[in-house]
Amino acid sequence: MSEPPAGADASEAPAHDYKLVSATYQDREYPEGVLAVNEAGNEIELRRWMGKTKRPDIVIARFHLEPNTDVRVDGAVLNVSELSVTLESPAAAGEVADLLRRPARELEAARLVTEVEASVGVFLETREEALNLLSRIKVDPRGALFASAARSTDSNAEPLDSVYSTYSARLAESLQKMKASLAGGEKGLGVGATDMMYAITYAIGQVQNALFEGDSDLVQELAALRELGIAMTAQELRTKRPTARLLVRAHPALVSLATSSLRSG
Amino acid sequence: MPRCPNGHAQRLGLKCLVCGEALSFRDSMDELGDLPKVEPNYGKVAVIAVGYPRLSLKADYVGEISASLADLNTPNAFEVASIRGGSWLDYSKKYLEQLRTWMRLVGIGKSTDRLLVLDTSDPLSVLALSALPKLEHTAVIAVVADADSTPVEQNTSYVALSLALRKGFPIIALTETFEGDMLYFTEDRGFAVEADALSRLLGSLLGAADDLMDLLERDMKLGVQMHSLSAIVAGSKSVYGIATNAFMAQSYDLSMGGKPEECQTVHSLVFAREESEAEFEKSFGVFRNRKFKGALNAEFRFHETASPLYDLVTIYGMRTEASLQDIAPGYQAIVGSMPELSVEGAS
Repeated sequence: MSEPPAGADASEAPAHDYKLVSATYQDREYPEGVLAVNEAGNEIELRRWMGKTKRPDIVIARFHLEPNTDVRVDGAVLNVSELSVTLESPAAAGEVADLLRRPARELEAARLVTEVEASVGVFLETREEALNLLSRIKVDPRGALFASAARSTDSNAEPLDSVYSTYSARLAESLQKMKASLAGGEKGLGVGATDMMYAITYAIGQVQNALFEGDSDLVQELAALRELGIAMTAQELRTKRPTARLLVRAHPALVSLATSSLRSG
Repeated sequence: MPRCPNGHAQRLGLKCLVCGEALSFRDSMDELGDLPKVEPNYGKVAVIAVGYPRLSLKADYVGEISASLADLNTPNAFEVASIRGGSWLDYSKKYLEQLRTWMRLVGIGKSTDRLLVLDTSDPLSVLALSALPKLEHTAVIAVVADADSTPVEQNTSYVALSLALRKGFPIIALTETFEGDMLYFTEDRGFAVEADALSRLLGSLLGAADDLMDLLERDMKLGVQMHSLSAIVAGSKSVYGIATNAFMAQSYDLSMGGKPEECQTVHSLVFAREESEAEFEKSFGVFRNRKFKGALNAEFRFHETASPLYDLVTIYGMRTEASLQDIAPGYQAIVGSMPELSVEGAS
């Protein structure tokens, strides 16, 4: 986890410097010094004052922290890895701990986004499948219903009724799961990212509707997608299964939003 | 639809175009769970052919029911594996439910009109009629066994015809001999015989499906369910002279026995150039008065074509028992030794 000091600054990322009262590292005490934490919160350096001007230019230890690193705070004392640091105040210790816990929380946010996206994906892709089949039924009812009959559980039902019944049940189930997943994920994702997920889901649903109706130039839908940070062309939307691609393109914006919500939270 | 806090509804976008507030999508998720209703277009005329795998017909849908090496179902074909020594009853026992399912899947009841073209000597014709529900606007073109057919063929044909009658379908019957002797001229391919000739004749009837169904259903109301037909395909003035001659000539070659004078109804469908309509209509009146004075109903229907050659198809309403009498002995002979092959055994 830790690297021996290399003498010069290794980290080029912007760092936050915190004055420390004392530090203990490998059973040795260091009175005064600086604790530098990089912006990403995954690297810290312990530096010692140098000379009469007290320039903090000797690096005692540098740690690259994994997202699951245990960070403990007790008053002004911060314990992380083999390092125990007493900062100037409990508030400073809390701020550093918050910075150091950010990678874990970002990882968690990415996990939550992926989890919620999975349930949204199941719902929207089921809906896409249903609308694709209904589109084919409009054009070639016999061929489409014949092909879908293999998935039907009730051979005595009217084939079109059976299609509606099967897909309505699947949609209702996946819709409930999606709503539950969105509600459950909101605490971790934050209101902003959750609202964005709802907006993306609804917009993709509207894209599906427009493709099903077949008479739209998709201009409004493309503009709405752009507003949501999803860049697509009409040609891309008219490919066989655009939903999965739309969700993939929405992912970075959602993760970024969830991360921002973590920063402010 | 998503709404802003001020209640303005908007389908797309993040901000309300009226007041600029953020839209809320949370309450609009349920509308994505509803699927739009579709009304599939199954077309106007559906044809189901049994025992005629080579028919070439122009219809919105043509489905074939036939025996082959193995079971194979597609949207246009219901093929069953041949049963060695199998009677119509064996096929019905084995395939009735499967065929009912197939018919439901291909939306047999969804077209406006249905035409069943049956070789009634084929055991699958009984299966097809058993599987077909009682549907309005459904007519049967039946090629029927005749005195030259074997008792087994006569039995199958008799059962199939009886089943069609029991289900209330109007029938146009052609004997196997009539069908075998059919020979028509086609402008694009010359002379047509066998399946090609039947396709050519059916082509004319399908071209006038509305009128055909209308005439057959009118006859049904008069209690006339069974019909015979006669036809001139690709007729011309140079061959028949005046139109009255054409009407008279074709009436000597009916598709099913019986005398024209005994017919209860008579209807002619003419497919010709517009300018000849008046002559054909007048000639139909002469034809009717000369040979069918006692007919309960007689109607003339004209269909304009571009061809200089004309088609003339006349449909004669007959007494039902007349159609069955030639094949009744064969039917009885089989039922005498195999009682399960009686009409009552067919569903």
